[in-house]
Amino acid sequence: MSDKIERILESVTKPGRYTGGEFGCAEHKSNAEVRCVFCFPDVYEVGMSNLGMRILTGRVNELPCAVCERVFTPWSDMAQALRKEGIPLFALESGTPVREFDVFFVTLPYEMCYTNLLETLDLSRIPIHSEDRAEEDPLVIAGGVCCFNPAPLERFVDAFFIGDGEEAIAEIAQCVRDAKRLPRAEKLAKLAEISGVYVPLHNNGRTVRRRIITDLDAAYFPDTQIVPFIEIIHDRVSLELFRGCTRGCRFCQAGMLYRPIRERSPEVLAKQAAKLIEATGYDELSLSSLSTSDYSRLTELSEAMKREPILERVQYTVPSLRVDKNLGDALESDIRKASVTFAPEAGTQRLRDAINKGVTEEDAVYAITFAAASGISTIKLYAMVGLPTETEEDIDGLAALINKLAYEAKAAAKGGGHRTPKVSVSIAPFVPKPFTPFQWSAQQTFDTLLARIYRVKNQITNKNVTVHWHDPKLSRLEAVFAVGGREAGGVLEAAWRGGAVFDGWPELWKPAVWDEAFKSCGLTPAELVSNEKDVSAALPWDFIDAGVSKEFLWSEYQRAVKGETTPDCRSGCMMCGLEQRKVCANAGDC
Amino acid sequence: MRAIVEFQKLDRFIGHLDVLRSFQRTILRSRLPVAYSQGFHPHMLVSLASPTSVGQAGLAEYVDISLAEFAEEEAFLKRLAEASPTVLPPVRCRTVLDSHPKLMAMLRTASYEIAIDEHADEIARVAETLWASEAYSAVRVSKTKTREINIRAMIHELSAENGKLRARVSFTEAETVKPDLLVETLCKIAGVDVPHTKITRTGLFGEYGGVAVPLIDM
Ligand code: SF4
Repeated sequence: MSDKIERILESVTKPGRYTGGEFGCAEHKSNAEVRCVFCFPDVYEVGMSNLGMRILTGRVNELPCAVCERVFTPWSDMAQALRKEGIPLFALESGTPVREFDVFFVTLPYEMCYTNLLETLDLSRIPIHSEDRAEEDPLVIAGGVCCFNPAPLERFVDAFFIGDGEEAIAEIAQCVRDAKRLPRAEKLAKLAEISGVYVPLHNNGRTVRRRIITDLDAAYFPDTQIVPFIEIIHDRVSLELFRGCTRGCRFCQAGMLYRPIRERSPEVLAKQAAKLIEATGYDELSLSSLSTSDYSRLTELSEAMKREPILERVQYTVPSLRVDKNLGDALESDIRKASVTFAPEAGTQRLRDAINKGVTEEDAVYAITFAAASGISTIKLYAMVGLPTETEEDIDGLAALINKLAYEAKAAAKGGGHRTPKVSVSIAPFVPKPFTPFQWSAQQTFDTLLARIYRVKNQITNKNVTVHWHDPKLSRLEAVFAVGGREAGGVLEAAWRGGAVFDGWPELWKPAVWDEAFKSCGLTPAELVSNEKDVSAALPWDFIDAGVSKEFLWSEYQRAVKGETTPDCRSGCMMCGLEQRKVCANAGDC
Repeated sequence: MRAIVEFQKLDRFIGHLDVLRSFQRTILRSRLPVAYSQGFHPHMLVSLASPTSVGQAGLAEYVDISLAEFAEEEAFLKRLAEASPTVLPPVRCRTVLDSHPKLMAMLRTASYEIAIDEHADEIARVAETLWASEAYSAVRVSKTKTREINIRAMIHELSAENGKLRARVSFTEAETVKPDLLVETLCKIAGVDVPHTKITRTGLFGEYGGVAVPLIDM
């Protein structure tokens, strides 16, 4: 590390974000023919907690011909110092400037990291516009769930990857190696031939098909994990029990995009857990998936884990422990339960039916009293406002439900001889997302969203309840990038040039800069996201084949409007479109 | 039985709590027979002896590990080293009985190498003068009080060459000279602004018959 960089690190907060050298980080491969850097566009502590990044960097590093280093978005103090000293951003493993790599992979897990992508590119001295990049600049390749609507980022990203990445990322690295001597445009043309890759420059209206890995047991999974020095958000080993979800909540993008459900077997998971614990020295293990309690073989998993001696001292955590009747009793007793979450999402049965959230008030009461009676100290409730078809009655219903649950929790805790649990309610404005039945829906205006949040809040009388909410202004922005077209990219650039970065972090969030950015582009969030779309309207992501069919999504939307529910497709195939790709094991039943 | 391990902290930006946590994980990876405390939430019996703070590198840091079974020094060190991150390499190991005094209790002095960016010549000259003098008073500011001390009496070795200051100074609860204070004092005598420094702690010592002995050998 140069003296200059050391001098900078003396003055920034958390220098450990930029020093690397952690146990398990990739070794220097001097013979690597393809040098990749993987960017998680947020701070180190967030990015290092991301399982996808671990899988994908691990997969590339496994290739003899390639190396994959890491970079994160520097916090504002570091960014300022790098600019002042004229030091280009460097990768953590070797300290090599990011712009000297062959490939700059970036994962886009949420829209609120878009300004961070521009910031990271700029700090690396890589031109932010694809068309301005020179031959020797890295190829900027994005993956992650946001790529299902690439339009807002098309000017900034050379190639997008759509779908499960663990096979494709190796193909991409190898393709870049083979095309090493070709000019940039031809390299990109070669990449466009890989299934799941979308290159705006070379697409010509072609359909891009989402890559799907059908057998997770056979898929690559790293047998070690980098062990950071500084504490990260999820400072533990994590396993992915399964991918996908069968419940079919109509607002949930992950629930549609990760279909079909694909489980890892208990034996494979227990082996992976043992290897990771042994390799890292962690004593905590997290079982992550969309809704962990939906894993069909929890009891077997618990037994398989008990057969691994090294797992004896290990503590289990579940990112959001959802209490319901399915939660395997065996595993449940092993899980540390300081808090549980429950997501009724909406306050009335009518609205829960419309969004196809398959829970009833009885379910909620059961879950909450069960948790409170067993001594849980914190209950977290999740709800949304601004949902399609929502009326003020639903809002009042939500407040009533929360009051009722808090009351029941108190009574149950008392009955079990425990202290009254704290109830924390988190309210998020609804954001329409591509490839969901609500992709055609309008988002409510800022004023309406805020009014509805306050209408809930003001009716919550119970002293044990605290209410948190997402800033509707941020949710508006999230919607602009989730369902917006290329014009949203112009706003993004203007905002970043105005100083917007780390928009998801309250201490750096600059709403006035965004207002100015919209104005300078002659746009308003309202015209981008406040209109209901018609079925015949062309959507920016129509050329992507995500697996779920537009017909299915539209029919789900119509059912929502009529208040009709659709059952969990584990009990019978709903013909969502995946059945045609022969990738869904459940689809055989129909 | 305890194992006293001397290690280096090559990345000066790691804080001491992070070093400790890193050792706990290294020990788990190495699967060496470490002892745990009794009670409902047993924790690993591992402690650092006066670890350097963020910003300082260390060439002879100490970690004290209680063992559940007998371990042979060389094999212990080898296994620990294999499981260590490259920026925290263990370099020596000594096993002692549980009754062996705590390292902290034996600590008397610490040695530093201080790289100075500017005014190196002036500082080297006054370092010589200070070393030759009988007494010199400096003001030590701590969280609770400000106190005048005879800094000269707390300096046990002092030399300067090639832009580097080498010093061994008192490091006990009653008498401590922080390297920053030493540099500030020298600059005050020399009449120059305090330059940017880079501090590496090179050793921790006890005392035996008037001679400074590395803590691990006490
Ligand atoms: S194909 Fe059928 S079973 Fe499979 S995810 Fe779609 S609806 Fe569910």
